[in-house]
Amino acid sequence: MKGKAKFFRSLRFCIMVIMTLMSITAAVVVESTIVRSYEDRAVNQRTIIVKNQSDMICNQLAQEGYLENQENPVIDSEIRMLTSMYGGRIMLIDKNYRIVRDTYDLDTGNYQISKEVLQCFRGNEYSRYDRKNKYIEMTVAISNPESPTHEIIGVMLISVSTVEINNSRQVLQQKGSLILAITVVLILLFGFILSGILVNPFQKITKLLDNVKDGYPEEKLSVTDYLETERITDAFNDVLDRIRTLDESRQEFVSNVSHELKTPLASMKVLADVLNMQEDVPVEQYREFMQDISQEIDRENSIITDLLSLVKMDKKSQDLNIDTVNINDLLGLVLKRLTPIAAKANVELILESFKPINAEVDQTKLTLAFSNLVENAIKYNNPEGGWVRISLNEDNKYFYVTVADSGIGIPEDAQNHIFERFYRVDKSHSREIGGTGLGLAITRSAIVMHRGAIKVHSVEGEGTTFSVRIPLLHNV
Amino acid sequence: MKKIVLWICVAVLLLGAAGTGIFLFLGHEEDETGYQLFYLNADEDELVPWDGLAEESDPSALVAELYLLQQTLPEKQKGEEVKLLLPKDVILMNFSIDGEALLLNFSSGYADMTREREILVRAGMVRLFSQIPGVKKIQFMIEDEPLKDSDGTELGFMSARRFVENSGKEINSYIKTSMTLYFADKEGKMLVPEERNVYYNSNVPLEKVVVEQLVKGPKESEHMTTLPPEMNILSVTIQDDICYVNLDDSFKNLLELTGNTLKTELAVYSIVNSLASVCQVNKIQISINGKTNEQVGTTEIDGLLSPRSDLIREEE
Repeated sequence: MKGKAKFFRSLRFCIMVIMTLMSITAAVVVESTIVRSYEDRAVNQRTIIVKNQSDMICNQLAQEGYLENQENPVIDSEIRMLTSMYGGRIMLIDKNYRIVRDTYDLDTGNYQISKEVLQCFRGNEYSRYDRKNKYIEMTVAISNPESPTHEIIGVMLISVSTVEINNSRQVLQQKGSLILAITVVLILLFGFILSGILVNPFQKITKLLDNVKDGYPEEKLSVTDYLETERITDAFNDVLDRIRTLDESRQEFVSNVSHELKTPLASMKVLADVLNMQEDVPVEQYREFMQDISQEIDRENSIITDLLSLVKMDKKSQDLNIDTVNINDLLGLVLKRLTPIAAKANVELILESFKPINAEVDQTKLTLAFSNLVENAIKYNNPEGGWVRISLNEDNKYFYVTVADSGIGIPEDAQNHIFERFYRVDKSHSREIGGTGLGLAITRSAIVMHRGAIKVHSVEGEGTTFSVRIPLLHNV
Repeated sequence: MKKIVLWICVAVLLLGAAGTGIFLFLGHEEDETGYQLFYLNADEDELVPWDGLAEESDPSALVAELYLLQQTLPEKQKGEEVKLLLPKDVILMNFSIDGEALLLNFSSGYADMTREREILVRAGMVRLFSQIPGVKKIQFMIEDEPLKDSDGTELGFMSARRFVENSGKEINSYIKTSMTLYFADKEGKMLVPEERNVYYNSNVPLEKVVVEQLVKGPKESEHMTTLPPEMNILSVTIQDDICYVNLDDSFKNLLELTGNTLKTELAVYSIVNSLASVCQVNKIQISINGKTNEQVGTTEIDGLLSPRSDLIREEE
């Protein structure tokens, strides 16, 4: 029962229904149009034929004076032939409106006063098809073609039965209905098969996805039957790629972090062991070793702090501490804090700001974000030294910060990944430069939390530019 | 107790009121009878029937009243525009009723109407006055001269049946059949068969068509009619293989018609033999005005009659 209900909701069923409805509608329209046009045509033709024949007979009987004297076997037989051929009735009406000849012999001698006959005497011939009562009726004016005045001397009133046309129409209709019925059955059948073929690629996708469930297969999904399915599989492949990268970087992170966390511990252990093993250690050495241990603790501390701040951002906590902050001051503070590191690395810090900019932001988070950017710019600068240029600008909606450096740059294939957690561009230099691989991830999270955006532009060997855009007003 | 008395009083009052109402209603019905008046439509190519009421019951007075009603336009209804049937200069000068016949005498303006107007006036007048009980045929006179058509033939008496309008609607209900009818021969001594093709409306029973065709008379000049053309057929029905023919008493007049040359039994047996041959019945009962024990000339038509082949002369 449930399976049935599912089928009715399926795309296949929809396609089937649409196809069937459309083709049946088309077929019905075509059938009724054909039947109707057959009827119209047959009636028209019948009207024209009867009219022509009647015109001929009328001319003849006007010349022969048949209206005055009906003793004329030739015309008699012509009239009889016409009526017997088309199952009709002919009345000849003379100018006194008297019926001088009625092929049914019912009204001979009576007077015809119908509107159509009167109009015909005025010169308005008419013909009409009465579908309901199944007959064509027409009047033909009789005038002597040889008389110069063309005076109407009589009227021929013809009624022709169309029962026969109706019968053929019905036969046609019946045949049409039969063909229609067969067509409907065929359409249903074809619709069932065709809809199956049409939705097949989607089933393929489902099957492939089922395979994926069991583990990540190495080969990419590909169902290229339709543009749509291709897009679905492409999108899925992208998702899968990201998951894979994430997975890889997470593994790397675990090893990295454990390595990073272990390294200071190992140093401390060595220092402590050395002190423990020697018996008479001078105070100077103690102090020196303890200073080293303290440094290692600081390092450990900074790694843990980074991790914690990232986890906080990741929680997507909406607890932003929004204040109106002067961004110029904020950046100035960041640079002031980093000046010692920059001086050590022989990097010149330049701040370009054009006007004071105030924005509604979370000062702590944004400070962290910009610090990371500038710190990276310093760390990954040329070993011989260089510059970092920070510029600040705004329009009426956003403020923009760009951090450009003259550093080593980022390879193009890595540019997409640098904002991912634990991603390191150059794994071999990581140790030497330090850092946790979390800086940019933290930066991005902070900016996104402010509904801003960050972009990177980099040429390897020339330098990197990060562009940040953040709204001036924080609308919740 | 008081309440019941009160209720009875109310009931009596109500009954009284209703009774008066019924009497008023009946009185109204008795005074005026509905008739159809005829007007012309705006295009002057069609008669428009219109309901009217007339009080008179005496035929002569009724003719005058209907004529007067006909000469006034009805109050406008349904936006249909109608015109008076008679032109201004055509006046009914006088009329006379002679049995079933009504003679209308019009002023000379009648002759000046167009043929088209004239035929509509004529049809309208005939239809109007045919509604008077007892009037069956109508003749037109202009200044005491009988009305003639363009060939100069007198038109004579006309009945409402003579004016037909389109019958195309019924064309599919007409049936063509060929039948053998029996008429009298030239001398009026024997019956002779006559084959003919007849179109008739399927609503009319075939047996009635047979008698109608007999009344119409023979087509062949060698044959003589057996029945008076003004004879009315009251009913013709077949039940249980017996055909009942009910005619009016003009059936008895046939002796005058044929100048006594026709044997009366030929009249009876032209009906019997024709019905027997066309409708496959063997017993026929003829009644006149519903009476079965009548005598036509010397022939008894009492009881069931069977066809007689000894009266038939096969044509050479």
